[in-house]
Amino acid sequence: MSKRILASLLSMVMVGAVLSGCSNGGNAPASSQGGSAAPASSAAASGSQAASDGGFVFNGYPMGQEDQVITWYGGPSYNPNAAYASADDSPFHTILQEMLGVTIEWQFPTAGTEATQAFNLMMAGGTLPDVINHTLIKDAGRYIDEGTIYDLTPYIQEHAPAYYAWLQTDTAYDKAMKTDSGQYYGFGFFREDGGWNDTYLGPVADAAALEEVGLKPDDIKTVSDWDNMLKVLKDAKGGAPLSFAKDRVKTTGISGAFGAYGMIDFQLYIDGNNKVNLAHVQPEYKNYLTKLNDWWKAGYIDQDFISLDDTAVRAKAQNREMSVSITSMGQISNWERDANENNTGAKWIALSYPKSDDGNISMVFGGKGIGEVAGTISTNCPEEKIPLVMRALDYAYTDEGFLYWNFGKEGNSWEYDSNGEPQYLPIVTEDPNGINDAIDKFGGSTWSGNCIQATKLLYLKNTDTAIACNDKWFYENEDVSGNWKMPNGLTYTADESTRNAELQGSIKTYVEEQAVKFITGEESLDNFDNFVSTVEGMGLEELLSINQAAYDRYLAR
Amino acid sequence: MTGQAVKPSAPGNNQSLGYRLKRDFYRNKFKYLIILPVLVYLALFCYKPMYGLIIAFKEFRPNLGIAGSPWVGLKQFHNFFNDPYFFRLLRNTFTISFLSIVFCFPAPILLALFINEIRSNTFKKTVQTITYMPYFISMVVACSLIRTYTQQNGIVSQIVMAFGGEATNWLNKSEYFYAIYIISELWQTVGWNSIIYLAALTGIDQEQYEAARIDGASRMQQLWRITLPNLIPTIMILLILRMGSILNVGFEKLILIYNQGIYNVADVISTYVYRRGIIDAAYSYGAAVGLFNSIVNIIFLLVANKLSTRYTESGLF
Repeated sequence: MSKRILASLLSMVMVGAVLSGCSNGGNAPASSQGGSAAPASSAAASGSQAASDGGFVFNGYPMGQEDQVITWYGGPSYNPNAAYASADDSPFHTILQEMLGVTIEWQFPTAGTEATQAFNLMMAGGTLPDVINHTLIKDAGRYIDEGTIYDLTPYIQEHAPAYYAWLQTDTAYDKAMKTDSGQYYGFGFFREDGGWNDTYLGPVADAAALEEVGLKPDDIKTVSDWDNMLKVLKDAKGGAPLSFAKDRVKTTGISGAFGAYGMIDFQLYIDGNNKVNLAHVQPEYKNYLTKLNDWWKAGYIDQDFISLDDTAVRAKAQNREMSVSITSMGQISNWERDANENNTGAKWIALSYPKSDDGNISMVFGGKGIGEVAGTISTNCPEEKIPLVMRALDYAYTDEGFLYWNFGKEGNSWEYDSNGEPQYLPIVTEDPNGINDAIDKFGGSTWSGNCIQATKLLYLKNTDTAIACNDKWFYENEDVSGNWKMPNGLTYTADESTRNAELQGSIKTYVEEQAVKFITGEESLDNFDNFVSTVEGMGLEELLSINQAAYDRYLAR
Repeated sequence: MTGQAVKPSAPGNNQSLGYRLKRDFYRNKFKYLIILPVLVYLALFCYKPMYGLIIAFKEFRPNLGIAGSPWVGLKQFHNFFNDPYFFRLLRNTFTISFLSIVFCFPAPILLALFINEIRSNTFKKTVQTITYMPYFISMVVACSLIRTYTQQNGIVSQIVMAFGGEATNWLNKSEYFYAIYIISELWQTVGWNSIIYLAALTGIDQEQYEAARIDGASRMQQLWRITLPNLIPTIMILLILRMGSILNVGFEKLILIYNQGIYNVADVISTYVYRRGIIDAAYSYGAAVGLFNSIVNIIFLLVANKLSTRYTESGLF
């Protein structure tokens, strides 16, 4: 064999080694970083700095502690607006430091990465920031037991008085922010309006298209009305009249009309007797899927919906390729603006959540106005610094901080109008990308945060039509919008958490996969009973009893 | 080949090992210097992380660290082998891998041979550039193209309709998934992968062809008797390397194009590990499955290498 070939072989072997090294790294991502996890000792080491200041005494905001640095992981909630390269350029994040009088080192998941993935890798990676904001409520008890985050109970009344006062306004708030053993673990997200904006998803229709075929949106109230509407639209227009982004329907869609509680996503719910159940194994759920499958076979449902996202559906709305959808109030604002700008003639308005033909509805998408995120303090934060960090977090729940987190700094992005209500200044209202995009340059409460979201913000952000949509979806079904949900404040013990994740891991994959197949007819609904017994064989009973126990403890708090 | 690589320095045989090492090092110091970065790289990025693999035998809790997490023995492996999806994942992984070896491995060889036979230089360059191009399209963009093309009103449906078929969303149907995967894989990689063969082709001694032509060999005969035998070592090495990654199926691509409706054909070990290990934070479980993955890969690599050295007399080691 010639020397040249030998050389090229050698180089290829080396390339091969390098490549396989890469893929090994990918297979075991957690393993490459975990070595340095020793939070307790490093906390003690860096604690000396704060202690040498002789302790921190709170004298109102700004606190004048600019030499103190708080590392703060904002998680998925209030990332800087896409217009800014980093939080250091973003008005909300920089001015917040001025208002607080501390220096904040912001951390966010890289744009485009999945928030849970970013969080899990950060947790596995060792050095944690002082403040961690994430949807970690269910594991809060475990994180406290394992010493990852602080139990805030000893500090909350003294160092977070505004937040503590807010929690006392509603027992549901207080319950949600405590573990089963009564420890406060973090600073949550609340909606000023209670459950109203939690029902931000619902059915919508192009009123102009309905009118063309002689239908009135207000008359569409039951499943039979939907049958008729879809048939008439399909006959008149040809294409599939009903289209939606998968993410907008995967939770529940219009399951309430059938007495069901879910659509594609793995969904546990609480029935009228305080029992935890899995939505996917109920006979009502089968009825719901049967109807969806009928609509699919008749060509009423867009065959692409599994791969559609908001952008794609927005284009369909703009091109008037569909007439009925299920979407969010924020999207309706977009669709309405598109229709006006391009004179498409479409007129998107809310439909009522459909009921069964005898007028029953089991649930609508919703909640109790308590978010799933919580800002917690990691044990990497030295104990001396806790009061300062608590004050920084408490700010959002003070009167001044409430305005700042929602609207930004007074005189900069908003001013009081003659009625004493906040109104945005031209810097927001005349933003070249539209007010919707500009709002979160200055405020941190648009999606969720460690704050109370002002209802006024949603009114300013959305079009009147969109607000009317939300009103219709919520007020018509107020009594069934939140009670069926597993409360966000539920916590598991360490053992429960592990076992729950194991069981849920396989059941979740299975039910979600089968749900899609039942809808598209890839799997016949005749096999529904087999499906149910398979789920039971995967440990459904144990899964339910774990969650039932957690829920019972929650009720007993 | 192994005989050549380990060439004992005959006269120094009676001297001490330390002396011989020292002399060898002194004589070849620049060669050692050149290989040093690769060794550092291997140590840092391939061997050091292996320590973390022990979490496959533990119940890893981030704040307890790797060393502090409790041992659970083979529990994670036990869970994986008893997972309701174990056989499906294995089957899908092997199917996709096998299909891409059958279709995507020979394709660049054929392409390289074709390009090699082209006389016109302009045409040759054009073909090469066009076939390389898709490789440089980012995976995310390429996959969104695939998704768009296979929609109900996408280009695939339009072509099918022109021939009297029915429009559908092709990515929602399990039966078309492998075809979509393999065809797009070919489109993405065939040009790029042919480069190495083209390079090997230019290395073939031209005198062999001249001699063959004088003897009156046709072009086909030259291809069979000269070109292919000269390519065999390159082909075998690449094939063995490919066998060594038999369970590493294009994970990014699958994540980007699959959906719940086609999990039964498209969900493979790596995507499942991603969902369980990273998204659901089951770190230890993910690591155990990853380790299993690597072991199967190594077995395949060794077997392929053994067979190759026996039958074609070229192999990795």
